[in-house]
Amino acid sequence: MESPAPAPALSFPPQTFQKLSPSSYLLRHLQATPPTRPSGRSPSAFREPTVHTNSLSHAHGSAVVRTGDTAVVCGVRAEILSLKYGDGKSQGRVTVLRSNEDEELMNDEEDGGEGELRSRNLIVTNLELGTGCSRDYHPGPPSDFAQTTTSRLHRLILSSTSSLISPSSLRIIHDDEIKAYWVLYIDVLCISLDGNVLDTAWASIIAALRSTRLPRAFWDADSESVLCDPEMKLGLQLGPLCFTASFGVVSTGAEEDGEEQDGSKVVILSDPDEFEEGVCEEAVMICIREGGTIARIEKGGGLLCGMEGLGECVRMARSRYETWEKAVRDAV
Amino acid sequence: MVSSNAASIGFLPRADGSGSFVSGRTSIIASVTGPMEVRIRDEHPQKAHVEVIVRPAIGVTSTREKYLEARLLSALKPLILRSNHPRTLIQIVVQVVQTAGTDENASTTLLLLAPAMNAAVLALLDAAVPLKSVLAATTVAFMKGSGGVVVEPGLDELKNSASTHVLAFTSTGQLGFVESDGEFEYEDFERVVEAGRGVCSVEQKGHHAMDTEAKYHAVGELIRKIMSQKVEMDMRWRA
Repeated sequence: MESPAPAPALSFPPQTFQKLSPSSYLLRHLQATPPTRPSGRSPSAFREPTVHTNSLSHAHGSAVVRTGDTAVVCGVRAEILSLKYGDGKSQGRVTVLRSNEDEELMNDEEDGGEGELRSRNLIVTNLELGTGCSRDYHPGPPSDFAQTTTSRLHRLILSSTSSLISPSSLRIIHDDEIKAYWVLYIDVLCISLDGNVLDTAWASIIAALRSTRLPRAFWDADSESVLCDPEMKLGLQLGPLCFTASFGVVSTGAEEDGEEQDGSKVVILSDPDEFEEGVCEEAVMICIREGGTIARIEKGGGLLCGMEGLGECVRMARSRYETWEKAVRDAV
Repeated sequence: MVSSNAASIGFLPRADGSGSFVSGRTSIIASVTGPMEVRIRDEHPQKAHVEVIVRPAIGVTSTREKYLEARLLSALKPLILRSNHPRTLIQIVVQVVQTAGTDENASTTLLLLAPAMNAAVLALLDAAVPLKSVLAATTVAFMKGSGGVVVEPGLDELKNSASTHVLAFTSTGQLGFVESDGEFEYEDFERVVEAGRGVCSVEQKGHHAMDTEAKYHAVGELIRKIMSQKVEMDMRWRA
């Protein structure tokens, strides 16, 4: 009697494995020695950036930045916001205050700085995902992801302690009186999205702002309007530079929602691509300012990354700052 | 100094769970509905889908609310044992009742985050959604010059701060959520985290560290107190 031929073992190509069980697919890669990510990078490797500036002829400043398969274009366009008569101090509005808040508001008026940029909306940030930039792209109104990223970028520009853009370079002054403002429209278009759009978009904004040249604007008392001098272009006064670094955090022991097993190790993935972002629930973002101080830390999505992990992220973010700074300085 | 915090639970009769949290001038209520039927688009075969909706005190939803939603979701989603309720939706609605400042500036938004997280955690507990751990959140400011650490600062203290930090810890003191803004060194951040952990975690043994009055205003202990009162009420028929 002939025994029946053994059934072929169930096997399928890696691509199918990746689709069926993305979490295990990533973990099997990280368990290899040395740990390697599906993209071939080591866990702590960032993707090399390329930066080009002033590619758009109709914008006042622009930059194209690419890291791996994530590519964005940023354009800065300035428009003039002229103030009406008497608009200078009270801003032409009536404010109702709760008790002991009037003092705070007075202070706001005096220091001007950040309050001015905010209250007059002098900086308008927007991030748009280009049609077909990624597999998850759906046509229609801006997705929650685009809106959230826009808001994060805007927050980075108007950081609570030191603003990237000094309001004095946006004022149009005549005889010590502010006659008008420049309003900067910062539009970022994501052409291709392969994870970590925040770092790339932020670098593109920095590069575009550094390349921005505005025509000299002045108040013409005869015509009572703002005129521009097309011959003379002025750059913006920018505050200290800062660059972001994003990380994904995953545990080699934890399968989907399961308890952590013994011997599991927490792995920090620098600059996660789209597949890794989908698998790692926990994310960390560190923003480093010129001089090595920290401007922002964001962490959410889990309990894997404790203080040691954050310290490691800060260290890597500092070295990433050098890379970005060099790339942007070389380009502008 | 810890400002006076207040919390309550289970006051909305038609929601599955509700919680409120008041910290200084900021007041938030949150409700939880679910597990319930999920939109086909969001359905996950092995897990519950979690959704956070933030409603502003005044006006309509803007990118600011979307941002808060994303941050709250990132803090709350990993707490929930989602595989217990596959193919369902757990919806968390956060309603801002009162904000610390009148205008919509960054500090006002920052002061919303911690109370909103606490209110949502209370609502999740009230709805008896299975959780891995309980998160308690607080705001900590690192002051300019003096380098002092102020826990749960007011708006005027925020103005004089070098950096501000929203931190959330589990009851055992694991760091679950960070949102720090300003200019600071990593050593400063470590001090801030220790201060936050003191307020948010629940002491495992002994009650000697803080006097009772201050302790019950600390977030971690406050959430524990509210829950033990609720359990006491639920179990009173057994007495």
